Amino acid sequence: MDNYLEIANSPGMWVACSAVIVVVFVQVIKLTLISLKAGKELGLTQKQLTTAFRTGFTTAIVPSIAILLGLALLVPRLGLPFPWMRLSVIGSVTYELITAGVAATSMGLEGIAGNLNVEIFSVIVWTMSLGAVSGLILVAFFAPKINILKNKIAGNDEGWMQVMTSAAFFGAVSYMVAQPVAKGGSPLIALLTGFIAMGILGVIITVGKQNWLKEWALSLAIISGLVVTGVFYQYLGIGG
Amino acid sequence: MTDKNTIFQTEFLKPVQKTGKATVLLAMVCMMFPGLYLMFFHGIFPPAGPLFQSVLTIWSFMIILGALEVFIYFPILGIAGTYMSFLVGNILNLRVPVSATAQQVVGTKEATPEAEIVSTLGIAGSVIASELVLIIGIFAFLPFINKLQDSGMALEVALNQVLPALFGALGGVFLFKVPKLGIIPLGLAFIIAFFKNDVPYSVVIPPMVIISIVTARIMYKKKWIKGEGMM
Repeated sequence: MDNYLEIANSPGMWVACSAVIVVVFVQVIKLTLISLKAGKELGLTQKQLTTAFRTGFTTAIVPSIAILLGLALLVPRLGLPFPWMRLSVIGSVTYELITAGVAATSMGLEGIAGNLNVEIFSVIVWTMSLGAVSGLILVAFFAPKINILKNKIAGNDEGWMQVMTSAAFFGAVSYMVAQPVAKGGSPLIALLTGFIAMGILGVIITVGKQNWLKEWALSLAIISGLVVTGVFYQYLGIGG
Repeated sequence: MTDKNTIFQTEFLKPVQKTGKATVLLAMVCMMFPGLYLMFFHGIFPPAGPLFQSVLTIWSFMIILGALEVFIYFPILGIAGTYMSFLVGNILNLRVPVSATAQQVVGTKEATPEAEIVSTLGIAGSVIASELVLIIGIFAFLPFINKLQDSGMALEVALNQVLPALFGALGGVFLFKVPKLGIIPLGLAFIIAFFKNDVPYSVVIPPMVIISIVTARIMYKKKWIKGEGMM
């Protein structure tokens, strides 16, 4: 059990995970340079160009700190470098947690907190990595022709595309929502607390006009669910 | 004006496409390094059966979601923005608002070459910010990592419930926003779960995705639901 975490946190793992982050930086720097040059030729001033970049930078800081909270949920099970890489590239906490869960159950575990070993860890790593590339393939090969492709595949019905996105997502998560209710105990406590916490946060955000909370709501709701589940188990002996 | 469009074509779109394609492909290769590292430096090969099952399960919804996400956000993000945003992620909660804010602050007219460049620079700035915050964040994490991993029993029990807590939270959001879409897949899932609560995800997820989309299509055609989603 400790063995796989040693590998998960080994220097080699750090190096393997850093490579793609380097590519991200290379891409951003190159695209920035192209934009600066083209922007000047189109008559935008240096000040406008700098403002654009700086606005993006400052706007992103707080939402990015919120991503760190998601990192805290993955690190205990998967070590530090791999979750860092996953959340730095395409990452969303929702996707990573679902994928890790699917991979763990395929190995006969109940979830990612079971007794992981090197083999299960490698299934999780591969599933997360391979699962995430589907959207990227489309972007890599068809980005200049997206609009043509979109009309061909999805028609021009924006409304239906929105509905289909929600429907696909509902289909993917519905069993995982129902499961904790059927199981009862700790899973049910966590589900209900997450549900209620999100409701309360939603009221604070909309009624209390605290828009900054939006970025944090999901992670905070998950953590509330965990804390309440832990308290029920530790002090009331419920669940386990 | 035609002059501007020519400059935009040759000085922006062309080099952006070249760089974008090359870096995204390279990134896809690099994303496999952690798995390859486990294979070639530690001899850990994932068992084929379970891996195949889990990847197919994830793809059953990620291919649809991934393609739709690209279709929906491409017009907002522009081409350079698309390359960066889909590589780095957090599109709806970060890149889209950043693109809009940058254009608004600089004051460019919508859907012009100038606007696309301003949006691109805004997104570039946001990507640098995200990556730096994460790098600083992991250094902040380092001292606590043993504590987090060396968890007591209560923490163990709690951590087991990350997924239920996530789904409770998400369920609240979606049921509030698009309740009608949830009825069929959730109803069906509850029925299955009460009979058998340990069906492997690889068995239950792909058919549920299809059922959910088909019923949504019927409801949409009959105009029971309008063109609005969770995004």
